[in-house]
Amino acid sequence: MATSDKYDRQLRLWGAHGQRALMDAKVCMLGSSAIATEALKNLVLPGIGQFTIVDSAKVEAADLGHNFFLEESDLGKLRSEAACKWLLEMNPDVQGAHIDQDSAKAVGQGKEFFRHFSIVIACQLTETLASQLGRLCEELQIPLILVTSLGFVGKIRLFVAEHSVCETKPDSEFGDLRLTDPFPELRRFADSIDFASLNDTEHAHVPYVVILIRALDSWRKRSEGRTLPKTSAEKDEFKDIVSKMRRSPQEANFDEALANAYKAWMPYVIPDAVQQVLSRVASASKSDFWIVARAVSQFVRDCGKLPLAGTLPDMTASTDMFIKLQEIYSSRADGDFAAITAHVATIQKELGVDGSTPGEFVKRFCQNALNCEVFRFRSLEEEFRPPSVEEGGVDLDEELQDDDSLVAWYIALRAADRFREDQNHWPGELCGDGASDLAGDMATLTGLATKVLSSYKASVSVDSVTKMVEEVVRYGGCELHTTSSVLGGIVSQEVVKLVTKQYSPLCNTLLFDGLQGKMQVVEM
Amino acid sequence: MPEVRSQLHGHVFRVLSRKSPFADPDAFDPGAETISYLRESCKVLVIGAGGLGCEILKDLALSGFPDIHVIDMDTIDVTNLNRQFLFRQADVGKPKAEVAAAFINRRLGHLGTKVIPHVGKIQDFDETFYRKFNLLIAGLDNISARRWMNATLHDMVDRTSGEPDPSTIIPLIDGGTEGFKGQARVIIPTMTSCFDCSLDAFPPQVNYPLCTIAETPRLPEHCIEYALVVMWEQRFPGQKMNADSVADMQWVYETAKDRAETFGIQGVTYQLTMGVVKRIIPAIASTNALISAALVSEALKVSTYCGPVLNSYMMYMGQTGVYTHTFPYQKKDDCMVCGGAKLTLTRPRNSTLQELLDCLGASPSHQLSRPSVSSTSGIVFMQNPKPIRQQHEYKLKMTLDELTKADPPVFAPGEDLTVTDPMLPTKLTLQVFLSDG
Ligand SMILES: [Zn+2]
Repeated sequence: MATSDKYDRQLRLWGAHGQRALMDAKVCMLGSSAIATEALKNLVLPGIGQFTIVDSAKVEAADLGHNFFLEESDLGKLRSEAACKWLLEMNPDVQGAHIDQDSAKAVGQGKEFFRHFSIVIACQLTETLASQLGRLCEELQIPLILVTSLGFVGKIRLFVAEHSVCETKPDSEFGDLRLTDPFPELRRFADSIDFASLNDTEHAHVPYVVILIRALDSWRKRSEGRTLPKTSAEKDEFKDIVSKMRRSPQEANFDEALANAYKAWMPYVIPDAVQQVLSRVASASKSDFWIVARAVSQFVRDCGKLPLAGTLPDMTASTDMFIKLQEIYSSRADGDFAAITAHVATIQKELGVDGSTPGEFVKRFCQNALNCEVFRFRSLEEEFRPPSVEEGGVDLDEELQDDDSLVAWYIALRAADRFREDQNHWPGELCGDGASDLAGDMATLTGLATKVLSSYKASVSVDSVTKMVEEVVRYGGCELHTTSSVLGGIVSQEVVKLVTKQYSPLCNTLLFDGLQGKMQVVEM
Repeated sequence: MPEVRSQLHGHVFRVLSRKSPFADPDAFDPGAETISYLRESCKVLVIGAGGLGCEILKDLALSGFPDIHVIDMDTIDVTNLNRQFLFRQADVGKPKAEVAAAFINRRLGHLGTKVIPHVGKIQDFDETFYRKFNLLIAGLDNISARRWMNATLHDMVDRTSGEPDPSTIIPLIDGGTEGFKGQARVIIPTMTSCFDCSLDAFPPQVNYPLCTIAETPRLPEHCIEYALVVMWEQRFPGQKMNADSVADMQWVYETAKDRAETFGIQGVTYQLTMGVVKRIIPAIASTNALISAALVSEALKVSTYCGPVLNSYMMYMGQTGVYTHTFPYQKKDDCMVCGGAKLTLTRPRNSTLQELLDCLGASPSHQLSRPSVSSTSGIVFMQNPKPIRQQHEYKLKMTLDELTKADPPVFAPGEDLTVTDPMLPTKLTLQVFLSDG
């Protein structure tokens, strides 16, 4: 055992600052069935600060068959209390509590009930209650996650009035090398390399950053007035210049230069998502994110570019040249960071919040400025009063004709929600197992699905969701452990993303079809 | 008592008792018979009791599978505790399989679930052992064990009558995770693509070339690797570095840090040193939970036909929103395990035997580690034992042309050669043709 830190494997993903955010988080969980405990398990293990389970249900025999956080001796006891006890047993770092109340009562108490939480998760809520809770969370600015688990299928819906992230950590990054327009220190370094005087070993260890800057210079000299290769002929011409600079096909640095040639002809752009952030700074709040965003927007107004990230990817190079280049990028980034810090100080003074934003955060923002993003979610009321396709709503006709789409499940699950609102039990729950036993609920649910469809003004017929409706009746409200565990896994992952303010949350609905092993994210 | 039992499993039994428009009507028989198969006859083996394994055991028990075995050779480490939820601080150092089985049996004993642990390597068990199971679920973190298990199950299919005998086909449900990413797949030997078909989909292990770490180090990782590979051997000749020893790790860390300072390289930390030395892959509870549950959901459908089975591969990426891709992974015609009996290679006449062996090792779709080759006339090359290897080493530098024209020839072009390798549970037939290119 080379470390005593049980969180080692996750710290490598979200860092110490992410872990601190997680340990400060207070989760409210409405519900205590398998879906609730599965989601909480994956939050208790990595060390969430606190959780509170809200439920008045008593432990029944069927609970023991699908909920891991109950024991035989808990039969008949309060389920929220028993689940809380067994969840806490896993990790002494975590605090947990339970409240003997059902979801409707909790929501009925209004804002006061939810005020102290940093995130709310609600299991198996029907539409009316979900809308009410959504409104409360919007007013309190708390993220809300709704989750439904039924048989082999399920649904997760995220709602946050506004979620701003600077560390979105995309899977692949273009990087920030400034090859098309090198800043003075970089330009000076690139010019200082005299290729002709280098011996073969040195020549094979010139970093591709330098090769591309110099090749671009040569290309510009030849092509009067044109600044960057645009057409494919021009790009070939540029690559040809790179190839002619090399001394032998064994030079790995030139292979890298050719593979990264596109970085020399892609003009510097501020990505759309970042433009969106910058365009909103005037009306934004006094949170750390928006204070720094405002500073960045002033910086962009002055310099035309975002603060430099300052990181250099690994590339074939001599130690000496690599370290020099690394210093050039990082000291430029330090300079940009100092400028942003000065802007931040001025803005804080204007807003009367002196010194509120930690320097560590300003630094992280600068390092990730190219990837920052603000996510907005449609409210639940809007979702249930669906916007037209022109207003950005989902195109139901198109989705339901697409065999790969899972939106038919959304319709069937919405219909099941309405069924529950009307009858206080799930479709198929109180029937026998034969087709004739289920026919009544099948007819009722089909009627409700038709109503949901018509709210979209879609022309598609209810036949396109008949199989899904039939399957929902088959399930009769049963909650399979595996489905709940898949959904609980995703829910907890989204909680981690939301409370650490890292990565991008799913926007806004995830549909899970465990029959085919498929998932789909749609904006409903 | 059947009354109480049917209540306990009420949720699963409902799905098993009612018809589904999605299930295959010829295969799925809703009701008592399907339920009794699940409860009385179905026997499942779980490979690995780690991040995925703990979840899989729980998921199986809570899906109604009563007869579960688990194999794992590892002991519990403190860094397992952020996700391997059947282990506690006090269990550190104990065998994973035993602690996991005992926990499930204790917590879920009332479900009639019995988990039987086996502490050991999968290679320690033979076909008679594996044949006892209706289904295998693998939650392993290393490629070579997954390949071995996959190849073994393919090898167990009886083809004596010409066609594969369905009663000898054991499905393998396999999954893996890395950070926010994961994958789940169903392998039905002879019917679907197999694990080896997708070998090149796995990113190659990070390897730092010796010349870089020795001559032009740039990254803190380069300094750590050099301290581990070169400087350790210089300081402690013949002694293996123990990655679980704090003292050893500390030595590598400090040595790497000194080296980095002389080059002006920043960023050598103890945490990074551990990451490089142990080739650590980040792992979190949420991804393990969802991938494991996806595997067991397939296990329930494969065993009872209560729904269609995943066809055949699901990829999950949770970093940027949630992105998944489900698709039938194609069988590879030249797959060494399922693509037919022979591997055919065409090699340049003037290339050497060493290059042929390297090619078997380097190719992403073969990835053998130490292949030995023999022909009908004898040994072409043998890796072990050392005295035999030494007798044949002279051939490594000979060209294939020279070897086939030697007197007597070492092998003939197009002849069936037998390849054995630690990565393969069985022998592989190889044909080598020569080209003038
Ligand atoms: Zn294969």
